[in-house]
Amino acid sequence: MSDRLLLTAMSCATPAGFGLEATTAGLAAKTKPCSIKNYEFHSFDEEVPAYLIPQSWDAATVLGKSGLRTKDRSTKLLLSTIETGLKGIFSDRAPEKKPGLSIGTAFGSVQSIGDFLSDSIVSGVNAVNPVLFANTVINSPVGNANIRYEIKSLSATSSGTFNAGLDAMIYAADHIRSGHHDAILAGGLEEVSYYTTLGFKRSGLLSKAASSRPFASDADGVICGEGCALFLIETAKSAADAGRSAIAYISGYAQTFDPNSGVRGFNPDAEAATVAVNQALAMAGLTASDISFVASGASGNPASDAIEATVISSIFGNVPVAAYKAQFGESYGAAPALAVAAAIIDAKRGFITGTGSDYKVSGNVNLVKADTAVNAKHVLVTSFSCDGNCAALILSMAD
Amino acid sequence: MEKKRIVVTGIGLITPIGTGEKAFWAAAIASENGVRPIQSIDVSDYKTKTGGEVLDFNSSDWFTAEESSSMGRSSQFAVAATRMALADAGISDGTIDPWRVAVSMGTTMGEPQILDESVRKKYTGGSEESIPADLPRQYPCGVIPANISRMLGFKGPSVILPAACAAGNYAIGYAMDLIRLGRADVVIAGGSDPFSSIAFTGFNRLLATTKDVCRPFDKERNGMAVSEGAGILIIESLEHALARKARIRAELLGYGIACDAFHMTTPAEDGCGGILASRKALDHAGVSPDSIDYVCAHGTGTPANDKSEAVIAKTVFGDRGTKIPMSSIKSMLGHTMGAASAIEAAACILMLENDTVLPTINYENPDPLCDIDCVPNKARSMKLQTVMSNAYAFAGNTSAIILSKFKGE
Amino acid sequence: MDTNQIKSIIRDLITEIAEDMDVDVSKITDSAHFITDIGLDSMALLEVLASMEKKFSVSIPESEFPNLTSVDACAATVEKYLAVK
Repeated sequence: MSDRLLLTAMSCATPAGFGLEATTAGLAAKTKPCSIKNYEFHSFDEEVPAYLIPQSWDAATVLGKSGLRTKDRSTKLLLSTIETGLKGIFSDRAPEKKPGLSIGTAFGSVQSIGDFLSDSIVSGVNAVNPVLFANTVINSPVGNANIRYEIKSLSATSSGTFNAGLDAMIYAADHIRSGHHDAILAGGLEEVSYYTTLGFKRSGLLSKAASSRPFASDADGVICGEGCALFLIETAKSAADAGRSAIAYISGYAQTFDPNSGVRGFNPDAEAATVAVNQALAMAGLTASDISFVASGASGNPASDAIEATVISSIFGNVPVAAYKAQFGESYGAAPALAVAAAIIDAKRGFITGTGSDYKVSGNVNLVKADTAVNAKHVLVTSFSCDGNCAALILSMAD
Repeated sequence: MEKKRIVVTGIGLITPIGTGEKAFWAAAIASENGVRPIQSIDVSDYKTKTGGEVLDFNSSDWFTAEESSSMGRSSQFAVAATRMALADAGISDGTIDPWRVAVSMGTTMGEPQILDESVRKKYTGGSEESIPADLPRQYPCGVIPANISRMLGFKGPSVILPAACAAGNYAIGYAMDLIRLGRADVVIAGGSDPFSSIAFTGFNRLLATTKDVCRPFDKERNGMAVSEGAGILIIESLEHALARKARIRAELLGYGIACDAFHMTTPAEDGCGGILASRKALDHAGVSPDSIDYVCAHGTGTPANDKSEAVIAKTVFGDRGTKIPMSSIKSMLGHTMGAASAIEAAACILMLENDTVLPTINYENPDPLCDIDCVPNKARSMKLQTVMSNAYAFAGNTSAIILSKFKGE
Repeated sequence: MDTNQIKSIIRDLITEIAEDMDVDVSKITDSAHFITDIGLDSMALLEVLASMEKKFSVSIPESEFPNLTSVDACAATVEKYLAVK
């Protein structure tokens, strides 16, 4: 791909830490889940494990007090992530020329949606606060960011369930390659909400052992997580004009769909996932042996981990495989974007973050358990969602 | 890069004034009103009692009981409308490469009825056990394109852009990009939204709903009508359509999306985002404002929206802004949310084919702030070549697409 | 509840909204016009209406909305519908 796009700036808020530096430190130190019982305005019947953004994050401190009174957790998380490390990218262009926004989220603020609903049920339809209705649209966090930073060029939300973060980055790349704009801040966003956590608990997908152990032969489920990771994707000209240089390049990407996954569970043949990875390699003009390591979407859900294992081992053999959900939990639409952030952090510091604990691995996967040195040139990020969506993205590190 | 020409070869419609394009068109040229007393939810506590509901959609006509129970109403609308559109396009099982078919959808609320049912059970004497185990698999709006891909067996990208009430145009625009970038040959694009108590409550609380009928651009307009439906287009490259000898219904020339960056629920008075979206669409399509024969307005019927649309028209089209026919079919359908602009795109194609523009019904009192030609009350015969369809949304999301008659190779 | 208590509650509501909107709260007086004097917007007024209905357990018809332009006017409207109740 000759006109490959640059990734020139990034920021993230993860359970490992608020901000890029804190996340880097947290990955090295290994993150542990916390336990929640009373959450937002609700109470779980029993304590539930979760990976939350550390309490050192306070939206009012980051963003100032005004304008936040009616904003929800998703919106505050997105705005805080932009404000910390990225607000400069919006300062030097007219509103219609500023970098646009393309953010992926699986649920939007389901906390806002569910609370608006439960308030209308409990207090009555004529008692709910009209201002809070605005928080129930899935594009609300992005729209709030457009307003705060006065961005008129693009306001886009992608919501392809667990791939949403990659979908949004791919949408941004497609939008730029189609000539609509030259720079877009793209990534993933998800909050831990009462409703999703309860939904996962009821579906039996939550780990009863309260541990997030991707690829473990005795893994028993996921732990809900949250986070936001954002990347400025732009053309070489846009970057040069702004005096920004590449951290990495978007070399290749692909999305496919497996009609035999979804309501019936994962399709073990992994054909669609395999095709997605091979299409991404072809777009990048790379072969399997060029990939330095894979940032997998493995989560501790045995069914989806098996797909990852099948695809990675059949295409790449013994390539090192990172499983960042051991540190971040399952943050749905944000997850693949958090994986991109962690992969870039690792590639830059020359170490792949290990899962931090030793356990027997299911499938033929070279899972990185203890931090391992790497000289990373090309990194593959995978996300294979339970609904059948498969996405793959290849990052090539700048020299 | 040579730009591939993009055409539409199939239409699927589910609307409050009719399911299927024939029923829809017959009702629309007859100025039928689809905004009626609401039946699907208890409205006794609401100040507004009317909205638009799809009354002729029977799940069992389209799905087995097992299929129905695995999908919410939004997905059911979307899959059924896709089947209509594929049949219209002459695409049946095995006739095209499933890896080259993408799905690009839009929605406002996603599958709200599934969450609604669960939360209602939990908060009316229920417990954690009231939350169904398959909620995480059925609720997130990404299931809408996934259900289309799964039910129809397509294996290309399957994405959703929930840009609220502009989502259909976002999805149609992305379809163009996916084809031109070589990522798909055929894209199923559109929008779907079921009647949502969340949206109905919300718009009620914003005092944005009409108490009787929707009367866009009228001086006495008093709000929008919450409604439901789905619109699907089969979009492909001209090359691909010709190769399989498909009937070409219209050409998709371009799209533009932008943002007001002003307010979450109120449009910018100067129409900045709408103007920018229209201009981007004209630029992308490579046509001048003078070549636009008709504008399918967003036209919700709220005082603020309709006023700002007149400003946008006069800025984009100059002196022609007050003369160019610009109607709101939401006067008949109500506001079908994320489906609205997809339904409007399909309506534009029918208007092009019939050389007839659909009316703004319920129009009685001219408003000096909306000094446009809204095609009052009756459909109008006129020669059409190129039309623009605008859609705006919460969060200041703005969009425009441009369609034309297919002029031949 | 007497008029002064009602006004005090409404003033608190307005102050909370105004602070969030970065509006100068010193402009809040009982007769100041919410939009032209204080700088609130129509969405803020919808929230004031909703909050008053909740705080005072009173139903205020939509037709009164255009009249809710100051603390004085709000208090008078609340008293009117409290009396009806």
